[in-house]
Amino acid sequence: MRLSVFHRTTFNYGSPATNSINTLHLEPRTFPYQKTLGALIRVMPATRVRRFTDLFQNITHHFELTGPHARLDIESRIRVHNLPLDISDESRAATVSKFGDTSIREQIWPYLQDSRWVSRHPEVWREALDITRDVPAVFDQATALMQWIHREFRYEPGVTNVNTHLEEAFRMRHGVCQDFTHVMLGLCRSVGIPARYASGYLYNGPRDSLVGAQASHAWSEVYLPGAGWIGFDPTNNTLADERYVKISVGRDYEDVAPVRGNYQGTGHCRMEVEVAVEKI
Amino acid sequence: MEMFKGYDPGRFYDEMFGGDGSVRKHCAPLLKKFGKLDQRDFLARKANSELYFLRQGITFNVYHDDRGTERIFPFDPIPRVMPAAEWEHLEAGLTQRIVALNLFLHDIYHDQQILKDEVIPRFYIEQAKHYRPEFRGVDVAADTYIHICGSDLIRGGDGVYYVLEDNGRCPSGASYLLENRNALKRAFPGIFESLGVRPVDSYPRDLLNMLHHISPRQDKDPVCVLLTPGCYNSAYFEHCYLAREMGIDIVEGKDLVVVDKFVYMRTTRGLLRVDVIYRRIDDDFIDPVVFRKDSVLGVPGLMNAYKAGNVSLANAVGTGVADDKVIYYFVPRMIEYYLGQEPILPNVPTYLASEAEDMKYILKNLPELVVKAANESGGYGMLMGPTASKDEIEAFRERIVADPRNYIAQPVISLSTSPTWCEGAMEGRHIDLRPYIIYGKDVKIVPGGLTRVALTKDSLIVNSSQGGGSKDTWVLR
Amino acid sequence: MLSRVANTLYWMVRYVERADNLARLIDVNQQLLLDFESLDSERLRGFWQPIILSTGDEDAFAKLYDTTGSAEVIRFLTNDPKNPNSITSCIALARENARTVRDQLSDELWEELNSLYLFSRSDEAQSLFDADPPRYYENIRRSAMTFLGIAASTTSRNEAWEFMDLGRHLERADKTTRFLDVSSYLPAAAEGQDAISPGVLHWTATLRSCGAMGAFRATRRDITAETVVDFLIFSKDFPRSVRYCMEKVDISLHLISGTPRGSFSNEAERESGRLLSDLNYGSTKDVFETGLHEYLDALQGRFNHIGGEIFETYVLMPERVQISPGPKPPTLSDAAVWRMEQQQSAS
Repeated sequence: MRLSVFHRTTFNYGSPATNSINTLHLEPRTFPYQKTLGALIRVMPATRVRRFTDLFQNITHHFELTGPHARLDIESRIRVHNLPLDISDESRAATVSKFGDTSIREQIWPYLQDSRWVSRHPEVWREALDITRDVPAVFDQATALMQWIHREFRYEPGVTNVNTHLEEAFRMRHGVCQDFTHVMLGLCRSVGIPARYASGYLYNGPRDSLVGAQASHAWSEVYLPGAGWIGFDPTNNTLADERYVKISVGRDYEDVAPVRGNYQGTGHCRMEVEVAVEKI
Repeated sequence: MEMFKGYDPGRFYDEMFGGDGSVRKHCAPLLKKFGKLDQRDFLARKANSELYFLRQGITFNVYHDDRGTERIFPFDPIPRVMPAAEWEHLEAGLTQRIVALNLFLHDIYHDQQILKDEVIPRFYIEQAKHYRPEFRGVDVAADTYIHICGSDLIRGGDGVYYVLEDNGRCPSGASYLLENRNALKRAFPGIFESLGVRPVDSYPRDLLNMLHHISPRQDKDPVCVLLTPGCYNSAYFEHCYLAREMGIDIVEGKDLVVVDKFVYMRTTRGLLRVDVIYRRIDDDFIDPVVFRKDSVLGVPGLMNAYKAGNVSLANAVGTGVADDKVIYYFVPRMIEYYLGQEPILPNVPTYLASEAEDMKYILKNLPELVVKAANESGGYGMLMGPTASKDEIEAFRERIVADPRNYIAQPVISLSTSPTWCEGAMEGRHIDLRPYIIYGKDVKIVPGGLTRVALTKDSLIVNSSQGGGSKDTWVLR
Repeated sequence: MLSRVANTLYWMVRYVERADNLARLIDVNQQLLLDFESLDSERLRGFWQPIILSTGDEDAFAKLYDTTGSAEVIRFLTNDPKNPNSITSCIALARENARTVRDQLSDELWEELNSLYLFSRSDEAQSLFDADPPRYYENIRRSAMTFLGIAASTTSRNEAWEFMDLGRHLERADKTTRFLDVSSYLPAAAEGQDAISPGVLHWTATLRSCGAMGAFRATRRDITAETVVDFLIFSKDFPRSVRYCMEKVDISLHLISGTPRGSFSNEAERESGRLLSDLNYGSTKDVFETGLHEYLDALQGRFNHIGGEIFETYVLMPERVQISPGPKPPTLSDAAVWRMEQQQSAS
């Protein structure tokens, strides 16, 4: 399946901002099931834009705007080609014991630890244990955790924000895809399943009914021995298949925030986001 | 295949045949269909397509011809065929280019970061003939300057596509691209079957969507018009065609009036406010108050309304600086600077006469180079070193030395060839490609573009004013 | 719609209509000539002079030609590029107008007019004109008719259509009066030479110029000055009668402005209403009391008045700036610009 994404973020500053420094995670790198056909990042006001690869091999863009500006416009246009998931029966049946293998140990290590917004809080750990008690395979454990979140949590925009920690969301039992994903990461890591945060977009047909389609989306990825990183989306209770456009991955939101910046200024800043995902 | 018997692809890159005379894979199905026609049938159909152009009045006016002669733009019925992957590559490259060009224009008409960072020497911008410093600080709709771009692409002997120039003012020819397809469909209905040729008819719709997108009144259904210099303009047919396909009014300068920084058109019911003007008049003629005082084509006071943001123009004022062939030299650097990417489509290697090293090289190698004036187009103001006489070369040498800022030089690129019907036989003729890029909310490029063909043997000049014709361009699925 | 476009559509149709009418006039009279045994040059002059006079182009003709023979008059009216009102000039002007509003016309409509134009300039047309004039004129008439037919079947009934209809009916009314007026210029009949005085032969030709022969016959009346004048001016039903045309003009004007018929919102409507009521309640008695020529002349004046007021209301008014419509003769290169003015110079 081939998908295109248009994503625009506009900042309107109450009074002109200066010395704005920004980092973007908007261009997808190539993943096993996803190939980038094209990507274009446009920053207005026009300025020099530098492109790097970060610690997690994600593509980032960096730019600075020193002069006063009342508005900042960041647009990305990307096109990807996605392949359907292909998970062997052997991978589906694998258990956590496989993670002891030294060849993958190093690779998955960071995704078993606490991170900025995710902790293995005792409450989380106990819940995860209860859910996965009689389930041997990693794949089925992750599925059970995902289903549990989808069942127990209510999707509700506006009650959490970008700085909501997993523990808070876990207590409140509601939030948005970012919170659902953090909870999923906490549950998985608590029972020794390597899990990472994936940021991107979701295509859901010409008309959107699934949650998260008209904004950037987040879901979790679980490492399945033999198959690699496979996406589990607790918000929609589904595997991240061909409809998912993945931009970057990290330990949690902190590592992959699509647009993050600082600026000097006094006024209030209003942000507008527009996302359109289409099939091509 | 009978008609292609004895076809000699020659020493150039041929779009249909490999160097060894074998048919390129993506052209085989088409050749098979053409092969079924005998020559008489083919000629009858070709004549049929020409009649279509004449009856439709798809003609261009020849200037300085008192009889008001109208000629049809010669049409060759053998299409140029492009495989899907090739087109995707071009599409990505052109998109990248138009975004970078627009960032550049916004930058030089605002903060001039790229000049402050010394990526482009300030001198080149300030001395660009079409740079309009009086428009610095003016905000344009959607921060976009070039809404419609016609970039000319050529393909060298190595099969690589190069960008030859960008036309960011009022590129013309899109109607020929649409009508070429119509004519070919009428004359050869059978050959389209099951070949998977991508349609081109979305162009007017894309154009209209773009015009709506830049309207200053987003809460209202915008009133868009096409501003033409009038029916004696060589592209007048195209203006009518596009206006009609879009369902918008075509207006002349005298149909518009500016009152209190708003633009209105004169209708039978009184004055009607205009939001967006798709103008097909150059900057110089658009407002006699600001630009050329002798212009009778324009709308007095239009620039006041434009600066006040009450009307949007496509393309914006001041885009001509991007057409400057010296600025063209810097486009790859713009792409790296603003987008942090490598250019997908390369420029033709270019030497700037105002750079000492380049100048030395140019003067030494004049007979091998193509020299171009920075602000001329349509094949004018050009020296073709290899075919020029000694006197012509010397005359150019003097002009270059006298005004280095306005000259560039490039090696001669042997344009690719395509089989073309030439008075009784199929022969290779040089071609280029002009895709039309529309930059509205999104970048839209109609698959393919206008393939222009130099009908004179061995000529590298494809412009219609210099005896060029055109072909339909097929992008395969 | 744009004022300029309204004006251009109006003129486009007027020119086609004019070419069509001229083709009829010449064709009919050329054939009429065959009915006369022989005519010396003086008598021939007597035959053609009234036709030139009735078109109002006698000065232009005198400048270009010394004698008023068949060849000269026919060339002047048919394909003399120096006569801006010749058939081929009218076709070129109609097409030039069409070109400037190409976006408003259906493909078929444009194609038909363009083909007519291409035909009128072709070698084929020239050889047909030399060898078989009736077929030449028939070609022109057929194409003009096809044009109107396509227009009727492919144009939305909106403002554009109404302006085209206005042009058509004003031109038709004007031409009908001019055909009738030919009789006013006929020389007094010489002794025993009643052939070209306004007799049955003449009025038959007038009817045929208007394509009215069949329709007139259906009224079962004798062909006399009174019956023909009555039919061509006052017929309620015949599409080329002055009254019928004015009814259509009145309807179009009111559709354009949205004013109910019987009232008026501008000078053009007032004049068309007044003229229509004169025609509705008038009779041939009024005509001959006033004198045929004087009556027709007055009608033509009133048509021009209406045309001028349409221009004033819909083309000049929107900008509320006076562009003086100086009386310059139409030329091809003027065809694209504002051009409501030229009709006023014709009479």
